Amino acid sequence: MNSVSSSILSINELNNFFKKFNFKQDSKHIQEYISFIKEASFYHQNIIHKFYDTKDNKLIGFVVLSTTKAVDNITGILIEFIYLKSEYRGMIDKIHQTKYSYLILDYVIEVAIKIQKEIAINHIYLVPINDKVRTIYQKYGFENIPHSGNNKFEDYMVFNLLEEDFTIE
Amino acid sequence: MAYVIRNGKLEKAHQIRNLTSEQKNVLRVSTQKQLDKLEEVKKRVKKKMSIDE
Repeated sequence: MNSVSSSILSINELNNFFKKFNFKQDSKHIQEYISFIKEASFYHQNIIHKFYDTKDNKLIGFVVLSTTKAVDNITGILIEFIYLKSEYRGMIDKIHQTKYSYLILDYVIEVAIKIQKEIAINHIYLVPINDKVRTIYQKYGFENIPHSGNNKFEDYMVFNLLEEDFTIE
Repeated sequence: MAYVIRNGKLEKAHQIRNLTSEQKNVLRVSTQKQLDKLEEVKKRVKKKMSIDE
């Protein structure tokens, strides 16, 4: 039995959805980021996937997905943002014995595998907002693309969906 | 769109062009960790599909 369920947020839900979070406890940059995400979502530039704890149907967070060609025109799924309510950050889901953040990443991989069967997209990218988060992604399996940002804090990370991508020479 | 905190401000992440061989290698070959994770998730999807059928 799943301990976390997910569904896609419709545009009609946008305003009310964000009211369910207390972003005031997050940094001004996160708050600003969220306002960009909200606007982009309104214009169909990303898709927000929301997550619930199945035990009590409480909202635990969301992930924002889109596509990008920002890495040398190699198309990939972009994880724009992952947000977990503070009480779930670093916490382990008892059923899966896995961190909630990893369950969300598992979900993204699952989505990517489904998309890959229909559209040839073979990479998942992200740029962590800070170094603490970068470590979390690294532990999960994302790899830094070295020197891809203006400095090491801005490096893109990638999760490859093919064992070997022979088109990259 | 990906954003980064640059000089204390939230700004768009830059695009990368002309990858070096080191960068290409990261994109070309999956790590064992990535392959293990893919295997794990694929198994779960398969299991879920068989339950749904």
